[in-house]
Amino acid sequence: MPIFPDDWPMLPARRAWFEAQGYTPVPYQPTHAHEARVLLLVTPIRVGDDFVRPDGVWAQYFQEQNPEAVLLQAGIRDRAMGPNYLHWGRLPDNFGLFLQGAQRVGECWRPPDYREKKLEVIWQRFWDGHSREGFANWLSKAMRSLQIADDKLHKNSGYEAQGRAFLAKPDKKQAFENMQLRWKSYRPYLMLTPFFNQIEACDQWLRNIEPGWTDCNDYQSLSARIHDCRLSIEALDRLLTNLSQYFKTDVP
Amino acid sequence: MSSTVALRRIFIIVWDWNSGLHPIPPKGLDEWGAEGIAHLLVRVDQVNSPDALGFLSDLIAAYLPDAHVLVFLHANQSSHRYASKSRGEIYDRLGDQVHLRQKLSRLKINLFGGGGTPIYYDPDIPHCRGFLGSKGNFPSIFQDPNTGKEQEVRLIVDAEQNQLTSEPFRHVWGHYWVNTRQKVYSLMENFRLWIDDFDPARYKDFTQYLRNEQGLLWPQLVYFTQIKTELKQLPEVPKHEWADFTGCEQQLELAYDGTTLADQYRAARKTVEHLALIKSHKSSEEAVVAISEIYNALDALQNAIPEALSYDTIAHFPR
Repeated sequence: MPIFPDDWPMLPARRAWFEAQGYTPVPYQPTHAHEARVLLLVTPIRVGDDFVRPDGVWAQYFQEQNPEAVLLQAGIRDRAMGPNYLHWGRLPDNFGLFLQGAQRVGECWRPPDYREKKLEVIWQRFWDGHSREGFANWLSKAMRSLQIADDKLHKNSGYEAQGRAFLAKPDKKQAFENMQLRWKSYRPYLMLTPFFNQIEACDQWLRNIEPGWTDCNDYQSLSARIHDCRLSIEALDRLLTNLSQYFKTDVP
Repeated sequence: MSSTVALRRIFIIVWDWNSGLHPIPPKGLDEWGAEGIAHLLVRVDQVNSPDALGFLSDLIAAYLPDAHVLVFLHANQSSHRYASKSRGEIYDRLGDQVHLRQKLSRLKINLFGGGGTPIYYDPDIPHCRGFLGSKGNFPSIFQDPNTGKEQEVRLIVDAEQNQLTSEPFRHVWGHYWVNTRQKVYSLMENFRLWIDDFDPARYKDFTQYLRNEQGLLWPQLVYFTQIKTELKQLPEVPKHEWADFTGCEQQLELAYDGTTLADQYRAARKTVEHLALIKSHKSSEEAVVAISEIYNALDALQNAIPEALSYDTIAHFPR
């Protein structure tokens, strides 16, 4: 039985209880998204001095990937709601029966709202921001710059100097900088999702997009570098746009 | 009575005021009073720049000797462009003035933007009862998106005398200065996280186990319970914002009309004090019950406080 977060301390007595019930607790791995029957979420999770609840994102992801799975929340909250809450102080005699009474994700299970900070809302701040200053905006501007420069360089080797000047314009530089800074600020929150492999892929692409064309001394190397950056930023855009579907705040 | 209540409260809000019905006079600021209380809202509408930061630092410096000052900088990239480093720059400028250095604990600077947070007014969101309406205006008329019905909100008591109702002053102060719910919630979850690794068989060491936590939890427990012997033993470092419970109890009485919440606060404090810091537990069962009672007393309290956990604590603008 996978548990998230994977560094959550499992007391020997709790481990023994799960094992006696026929379930072995293990840290969550991405492969569990397809095969796990039960997933235990011990949330909210601390990020810096903050606590954030990512349960809604996990529910949306599992609804698509593994609707038969049961997502359990665990803790010591007396006013916990719903049949999917495992109270450490009141462990059931028969965990199998408890699971039968719990709702599967495919039955539209949604985490109860305890008025805590939700990761879906944090994603909105990251992705949309306020007055078009979210990551999506800077990503789109940076991508457009790279696409224009790449297309022109591809068609015309004489564009080298113009291409350098074009990418060095303050608004273009600002888009690249803000994209990177915004990613750095929000990355710790995004690691609370089931998408840690994808987040690491984004890290790699973003490292590759760091403006580094001043080192490219000739047309060939500049053209190759810009094209490489374009491929990275387009891959980044595709992946994050795809992930944004799991951060809806208006799921019934 | 704590100094939180005794000193005057000044709210400085840098926002789109000049786009609204009451633009700011040419001198760059104006002051709005609160009906029945001595608090003051100071309005400024200046884009982030070295000059603007200098202007704001001078303004804060003028109020700081006699007041608590709560500043809100509009962190909107397309209009005011304040960011985390603006906050640091203001603190640095003020810290350069020797006579103000000791007073900086009276100052709090927040970034805001995007709506939906307590500094805004939104009739549909209970924790949004602040100063800001739409387009640079104080809140006035709202239209229900479903019925189309108009609803009037009167914040301005007297436009000629620059006077507002007192509610937004109390509301915004509670959320951004005292922030009681956020602090109780933080204590509760830090407790849960640390105690998740506690073996109840070590019930005799319960308090010592809590004391061993190297982060925020132990100072939070001590400042929340106010046990004098423990307070004396805390290292002399500035209190973390989430560990500073000064004024929380009074704020609950002042802001939420009556003593029910303040009573609940005192009861939770007694529970935590007794079970976490004083009582010697005699069995693992007792320790398990104590853990549950501590957590749930804090949970009931934080859940009863009609404040939102603010997303503004998240760095939505890069450093």
